Amino acid sequence: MPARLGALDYWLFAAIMGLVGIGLLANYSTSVAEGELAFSHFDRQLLWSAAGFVALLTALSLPAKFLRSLAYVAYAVGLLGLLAVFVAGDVQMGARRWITLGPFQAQPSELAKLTVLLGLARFLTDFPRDVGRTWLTVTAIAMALVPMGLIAVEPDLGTSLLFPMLLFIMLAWGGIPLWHLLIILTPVIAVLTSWLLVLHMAVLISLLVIVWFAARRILPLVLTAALYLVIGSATPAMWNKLHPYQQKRLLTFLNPEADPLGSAYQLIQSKIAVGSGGLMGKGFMAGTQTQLKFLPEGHTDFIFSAWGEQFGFIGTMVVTALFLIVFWQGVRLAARCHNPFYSLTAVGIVGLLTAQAMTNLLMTVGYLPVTGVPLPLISYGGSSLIIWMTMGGVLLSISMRWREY
Amino acid sequence: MKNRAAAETIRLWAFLAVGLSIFAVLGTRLFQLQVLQWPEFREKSDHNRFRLIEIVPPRGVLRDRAGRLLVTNRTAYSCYGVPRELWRDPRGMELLNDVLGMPAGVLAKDFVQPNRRSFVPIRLKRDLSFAELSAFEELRDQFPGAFLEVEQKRSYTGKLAPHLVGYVSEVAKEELGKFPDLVMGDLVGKRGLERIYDANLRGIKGRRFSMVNALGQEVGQAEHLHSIPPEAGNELWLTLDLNLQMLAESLLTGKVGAIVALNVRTGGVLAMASSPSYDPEIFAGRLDPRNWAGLMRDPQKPMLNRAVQTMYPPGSTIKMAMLIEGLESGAIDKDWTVSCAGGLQVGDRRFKCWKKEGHGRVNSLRAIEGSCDVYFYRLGLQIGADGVYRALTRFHFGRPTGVDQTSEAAGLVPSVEYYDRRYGVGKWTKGFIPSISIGQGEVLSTPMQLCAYALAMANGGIWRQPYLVQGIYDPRTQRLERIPVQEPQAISAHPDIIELAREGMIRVIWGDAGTARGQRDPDVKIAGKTGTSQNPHGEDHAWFIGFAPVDNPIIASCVLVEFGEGGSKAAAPLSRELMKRFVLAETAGDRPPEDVAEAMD
Repeated sequence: MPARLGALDYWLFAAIMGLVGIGLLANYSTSVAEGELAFSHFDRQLLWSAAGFVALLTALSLPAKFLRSLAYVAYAVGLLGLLAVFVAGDVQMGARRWITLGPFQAQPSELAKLTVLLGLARFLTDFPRDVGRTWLTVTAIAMALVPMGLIAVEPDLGTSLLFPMLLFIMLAWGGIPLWHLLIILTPVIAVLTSWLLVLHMAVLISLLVIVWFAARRILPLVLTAALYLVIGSATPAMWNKLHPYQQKRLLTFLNPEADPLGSAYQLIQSKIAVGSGGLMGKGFMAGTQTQLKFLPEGHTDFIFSAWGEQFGFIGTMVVTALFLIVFWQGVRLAARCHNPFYSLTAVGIVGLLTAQAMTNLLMTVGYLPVTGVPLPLISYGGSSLIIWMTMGGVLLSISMRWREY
Repeated sequence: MKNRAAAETIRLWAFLAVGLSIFAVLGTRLFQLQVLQWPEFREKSDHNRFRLIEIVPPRGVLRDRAGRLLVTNRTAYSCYGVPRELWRDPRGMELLNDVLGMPAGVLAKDFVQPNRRSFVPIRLKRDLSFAELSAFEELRDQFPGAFLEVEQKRSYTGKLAPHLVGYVSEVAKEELGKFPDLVMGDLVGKRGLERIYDANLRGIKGRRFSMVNALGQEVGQAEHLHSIPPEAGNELWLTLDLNLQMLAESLLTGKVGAIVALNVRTGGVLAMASSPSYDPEIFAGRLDPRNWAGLMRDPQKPMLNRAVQTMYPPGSTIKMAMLIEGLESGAIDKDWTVSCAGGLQVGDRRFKCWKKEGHGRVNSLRAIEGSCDVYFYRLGLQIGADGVYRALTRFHFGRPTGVDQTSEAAGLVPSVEYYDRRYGVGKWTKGFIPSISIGQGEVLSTPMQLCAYALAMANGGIWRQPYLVQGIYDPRTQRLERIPVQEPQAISAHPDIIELAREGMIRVIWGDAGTARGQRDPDVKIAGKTGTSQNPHGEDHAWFIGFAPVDNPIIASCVLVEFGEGGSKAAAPLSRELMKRFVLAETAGDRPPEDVAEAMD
């Protein structure tokens, strides 16, 4: 059945384009704050959003089945890109994240988000009879952990943590047993509780009880306990292996007042920027926090704070609402897709978008540690913008073809 | 089937529920921050704003070998303004424009308008004069967007040695990538030692937090936030001798040329002067474009460091090197004699000796003493172009000495390959050889290279790399880090041969026919060699290289006087005066106690 433009989800389309537009406005204001004159980062963002729009239209017009046939190739290309960073990557600010392509610098970790997503969607739907089998889940975990590891050592801890989130979302949607999900969550729970022995043990026992009732087998029980105890006891050693700046960020998050000049500076300034915006905001280009350069990273990680200062609660609600529209429409689209690959791809895209957006937004309001994850579709950055608009195009393409099987 | 549909419905609602609750958390938090706590955050934003201000550390000073200050810093005032605030008040801006002495409208057009929306202060003018400062203070109520900031500025003792010190100026926009910790308006070394040792001199920026009001103007220190003091730049301890440098520069007054003096025992540069000179102060604060244009247009090129950046034919000064090659290669022995009748016919060309009536019969020593050209024409023809090449490269001609200066010239020693490349294989004849044998034609050298050669002659054949900075001193740790120099290298020739050539240099002053016998001084016995660099564009350039005292040399020097004609008249007296004063000061009690660096060890 040929796709018709009439079937396009205009809510989704409008929300995505609205977010890009807000991103341009926010970038314009911060680019003025930074006193850039010729070819500012706003100009570049404008250029990239044009390129991103072309990518969006291209993805939209491609049948999503075509993407399915390319999924494994795409996955391999994504991995190669991450490996290329090691061989030919540029070091900036202590991290090796970029490769130079002619006049541009690309961030392969952004591309990997799309390619890993496609690879997982294809893999999890290639073996419908084996869904719920351990080998399928384990292979899927490996498919996500390899790129995650490559990105973690760049180091780009924030971006690498998005991959387990994506994996979890896709596995949960793919219909695997509850106890698989619990085992996947086990390391996270173990790390979070490892600082207090009593808590650590109490949580272990309740976890084992749930797994027992979900699986009714000994092996998962043993596996959960082993994973939990190994990760839990290794956490202190891993902590020591983190870069001092990473430790500082986490500690700062737990107690921002401890270091008001260092890591907490960003957090405090971000909260002041957002909070002082009030209901209506200080007005476009009149945000003193941003314009006086109190707010660091005002055009990348903390662009939402700059936005919130200028446009207040109304402005932040508009952004939140646009992300919510994408989430709401996207998940419902995934639920009505006839084709399981479409369904899983759609949920992967909206799931990752929402997860990344929330990681960033909750950071700017002081609810999550400063992980250095940009706000999708809004933060400055060519690779990120183009990849997210491409993913938007894929989502829109699926919205026109959800009846296909 | 029904079961499955039910499971999918549960899945959908579970996803939507989890997602919605996260959105709800965000929405609630934003409501809390922006609506409920707004007064508190507005207060923080309005009254408790602090700005991170970078404190630029004082740049490291430069000291001479006795610890005397050569370059230091002094305080200067710069005027800053908040463009957004200035833009609002055209009348005040006009007034400030006049106070700062800018051409009408420049402040508005070039500084304020491009940044008119910005709260971030920009520097409007560096290093205000006293008149500008008083006018500013008197009228400051009229332009509340502007303020003064104390900054450091380079200050030079007696305007000495601008060429070797170099200068600092604002970092160029294209260079910012190279220096991650610099911002527009920061100073970096652009030439000479200031550039080479920039990273050592610059120090580490500190920061302080100042309170700023809603206009972005500083209203006081943010006391509760501790500042980090800057770390002053490290000092450069030079090998230079301030007194000798002063003397060298005064000897060149009114002349065009260069003087280099080296410490024979170490290779350290004792003096390095280039004339005409310029006033380094003009770069220290804001650079007046008219001054810059003037310096650049001056036909005598005062910015050029003639001691290391210009190349001239070395003339007869290379004759010792020629003799050493002749003897070392076995082409001649020391009793080889030549009859000079004032010139030599080679093919259809006649090469003249500088002495029209001729030198008569000359042997090796007499050839150096009287600087007989015919002897060296013949010697050159004996050893060939390869021999001349070996003679000069043995003394490191044709490549930079490695002295710590920017844009050091390499000089030129033509090789057979050079001639082949230039004229084609087999298309050139021996006719070039007589010219280069007496240091004319293609051979080019800098005064620094010739002085290093004089040093090697002085100490009996040890070549030392000249250097200016003996160490970098960290005033905080009080530790001196030595700058490594190349190991001394023995010249590849038999000591007796070098000794013979050295004897020739003594005879230049003390022999009956010595070309510089007018420079005899009973107090300090010097040795040397005169030279004349043929200049097709005008009067010849005069050279003198030498060392003193003859018995135990401590100083080697090279003097170049452009358009000075003969070396004996124009250059040798300067060299004698320089070396004499140094040797007397060193042997009398008033020499500096020791090299400061030596005293540290």
